Amino acid sequence: MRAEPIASRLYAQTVVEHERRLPVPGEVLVGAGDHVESGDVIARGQERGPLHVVDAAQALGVARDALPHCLRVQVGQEVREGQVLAAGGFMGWRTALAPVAGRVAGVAAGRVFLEETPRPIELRANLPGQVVRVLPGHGAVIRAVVARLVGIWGAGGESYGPLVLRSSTPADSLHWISVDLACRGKIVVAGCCLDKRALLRAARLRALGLVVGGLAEELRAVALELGLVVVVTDGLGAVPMAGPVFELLAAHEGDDALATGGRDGPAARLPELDIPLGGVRGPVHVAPDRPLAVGDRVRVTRAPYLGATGHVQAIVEAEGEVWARVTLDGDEQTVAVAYRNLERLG
Amino acid sequence: MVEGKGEAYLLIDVGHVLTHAAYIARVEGTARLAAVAEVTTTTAAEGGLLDGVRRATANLELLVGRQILDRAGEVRQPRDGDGHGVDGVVVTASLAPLLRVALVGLTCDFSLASAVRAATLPYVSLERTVSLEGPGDAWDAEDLEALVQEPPEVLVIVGGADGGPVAPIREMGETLSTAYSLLAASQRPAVVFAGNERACRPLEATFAGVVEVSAVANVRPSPEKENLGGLQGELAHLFYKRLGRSEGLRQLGTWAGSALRHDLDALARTLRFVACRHSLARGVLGVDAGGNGCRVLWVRPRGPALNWAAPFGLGSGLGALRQRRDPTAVVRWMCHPISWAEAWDRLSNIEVRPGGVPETEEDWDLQQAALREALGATWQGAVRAWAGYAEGQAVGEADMIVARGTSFTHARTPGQAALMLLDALQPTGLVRLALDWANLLPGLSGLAERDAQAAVQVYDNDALLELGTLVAPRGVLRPGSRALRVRLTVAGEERAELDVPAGSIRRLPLGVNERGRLELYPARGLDVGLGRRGRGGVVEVRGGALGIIIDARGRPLGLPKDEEARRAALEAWQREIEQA
Repeated sequence: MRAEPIASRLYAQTVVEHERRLPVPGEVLVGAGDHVESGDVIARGQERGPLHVVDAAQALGVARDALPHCLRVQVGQEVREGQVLAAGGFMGWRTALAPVAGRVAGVAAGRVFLEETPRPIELRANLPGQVVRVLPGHGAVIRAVVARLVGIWGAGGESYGPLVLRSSTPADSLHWISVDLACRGKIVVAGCCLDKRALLRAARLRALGLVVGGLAEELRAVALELGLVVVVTDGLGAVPMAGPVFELLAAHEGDDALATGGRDGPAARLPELDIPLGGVRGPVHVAPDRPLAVGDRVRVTRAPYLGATGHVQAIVEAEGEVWARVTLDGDEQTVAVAYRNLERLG
Repeated sequence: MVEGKGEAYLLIDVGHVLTHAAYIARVEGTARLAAVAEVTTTTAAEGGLLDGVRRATANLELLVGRQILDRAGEVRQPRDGDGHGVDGVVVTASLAPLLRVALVGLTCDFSLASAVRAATLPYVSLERTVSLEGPGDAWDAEDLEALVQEPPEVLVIVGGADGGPVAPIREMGETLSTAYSLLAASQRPAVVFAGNERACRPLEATFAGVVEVSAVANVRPSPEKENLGGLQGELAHLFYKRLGRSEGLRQLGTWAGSALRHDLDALARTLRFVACRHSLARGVLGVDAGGNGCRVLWVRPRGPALNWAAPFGLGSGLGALRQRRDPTAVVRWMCHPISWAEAWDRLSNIEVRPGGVPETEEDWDLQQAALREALGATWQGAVRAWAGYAEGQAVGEADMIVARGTSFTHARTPGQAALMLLDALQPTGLVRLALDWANLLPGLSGLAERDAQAAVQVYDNDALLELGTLVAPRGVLRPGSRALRVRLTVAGEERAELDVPAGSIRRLPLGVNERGRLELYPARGLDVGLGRRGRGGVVEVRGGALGIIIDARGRPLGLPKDEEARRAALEAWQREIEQA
């Protein structure tokens, strides 16, 4: 069996094409070739509000076909929350009220269909770069030169801001007290996060996001609930951040970065952190997916060496299985690891 | 499809975590499995599904020494004189999400009950069933809002006997039509009407300009008559139409030059063939343990195949297992003493990186324990869901269990695979156990459409790894007491005779394709499925990799409460199932 190509999880410098898309069709404000900054609005649209069904005939105690005579609003009319939609009975004492502000979208079978007021939405570039493609009515694709790391689990949407380091080594756990006011409006980087209070403080102090090597398994639900952008780079539990990942983030402390929590579903996307590189430093390296080779920096993803990093010494293919001999960092020991339990770093 | 006699075929099965490829070639006139390959499924971000399929096919090329792909990565069809290329490709995939269907009808006991039966299909997820039974237009506002705010992909409207009143259906249509007219066209569901044929035109009129209504035969034309075929055919049509719209899957179909099949649908067809071929009156139970979830299929020679899918899997599906909030759920099946917190930490890491493989004894133990829990939870759901469809038979009771999924096929020994099945499903009576070791079964149904003879030959020779026949008495006895005495005779000669103590597992030697006569003498409290408790008898049995497996641990299976005793019991059972 051949060794399969593996995408790298870490790039010191690469080119990304970042697709920005409105959830509903709208108006695109940029053209191909435009340069955009992270905060620039590149498209606008309006998201339709949810639909509410008011059983007005039942509320008034009238037959369904009698409702049109009792209506106090017309189809298409805007209404306020609590406004009378229909009234009936003696002196019109019985009423059906609008549960939300919105528009009367239709009346049928004794019911009033109310559409909540649409919400305007603005799509920002979120990454400084060049528009390489316009998606008519939907958004644009922005190309940028970045340092990139791909995480294994994430939460939240996207946030863009400067990186701030809160660990001195890749194995340091984020202490809640070190999440302070200086973290406001920044993306906090730490070895791992095992304390719920650190997450709560990051959210309360309005940190833009959190990038950690490991995250306690039970804190995933907390992160999702808080809506905080979280990028976990190495593993769940007390897993330290891989040395090369930590070194890259430390080298870029203070630089702006785009943290993306990823998403599930058919268009699944892994969580990422992209650090735009102002000027291109030497030739841009776009690392294609390729099989592991001798000398590659790798991370082990399964017990008993989960989270350890090292260098590939040899690739062995035998009896339909592929193995790699890996020298682990900080240890002269060379161990055999199943090829599928390795990730390439760089 | 035109039936032909090709020389070589390529079968591809794309799963959430792994993609499997198999090369079928004719050897001296008989179609045989020549090679299988397995690679990690590639997502859209990694180059799309086709990339993984090409890698798997390239691995097959290495194994068979033939070129299957041309330089552009396209399949070489047909096979040339030098043996390169293939004569057909069959692609099955479990990736396509199920078709989300909602049913709206007038009466629970008649039309809706029939519609639920019709929609019990391997590729359908029944999201909501709304009955308007009651005086007047009995819509529940919550149901209506849910149907609009989370619209299903397909809305099936049923109700009324043929020739009955039209007004209730028309009113139902008016309400739904007004509601759906407020949605963007892309969000509106496809509407299928399978009710009173007289109401068809009025209903179409209410939906005019909103959605097109597909009318099919009434599922319940009269209280005594049921007609499910029309609705089932339309649901199949809509599912495969949507499958063709999915970019990744459409590319795959184009590449293969053939229509893509949903793997569970394809598996159901093959298992029906299996049930007929071996005259399995109680049918076959198909079990698929995947990364995203577990699925079970109960296929009987007659009647619809019943399926049940649960989100408990061994990859991303581990999250659903955790949400059951039973921290000790997985560790209770483990021999190795690790804390439940440590176990869940490790499982979380497997959840986010499902493509890895266990490397230590402890990790193997953990993975197999998770499978027992995931499959067990799925099975409990299936038994509850199927309760109304058993038609006099005990729910889920089958003559054969066929297991699929990497955790079974990559188990280090056949004994481990069998023990996982026994622990998770706790089957009773006499049941044959088999593994779809090469992930061939779904593909064989597609192959049968092209070349039925080749499909049957591959099934007979290569498709299943028969583990053996299980004898599992129902009932519980005191551990150590004699549960049953068994005597195995092969070709008139006694091969083995033994007393099996309660709480243990024993094996009798009977090889693959061997047949024998098994005499069973159960203790008074146990039922081996021969009529009643304590009744013994003589049965014809078939062998397998494990021969005859006597599971006298009792049903329902109980694990000792004490930690040490539990681990000792688990270790003993693992030892016993490995000993012939």
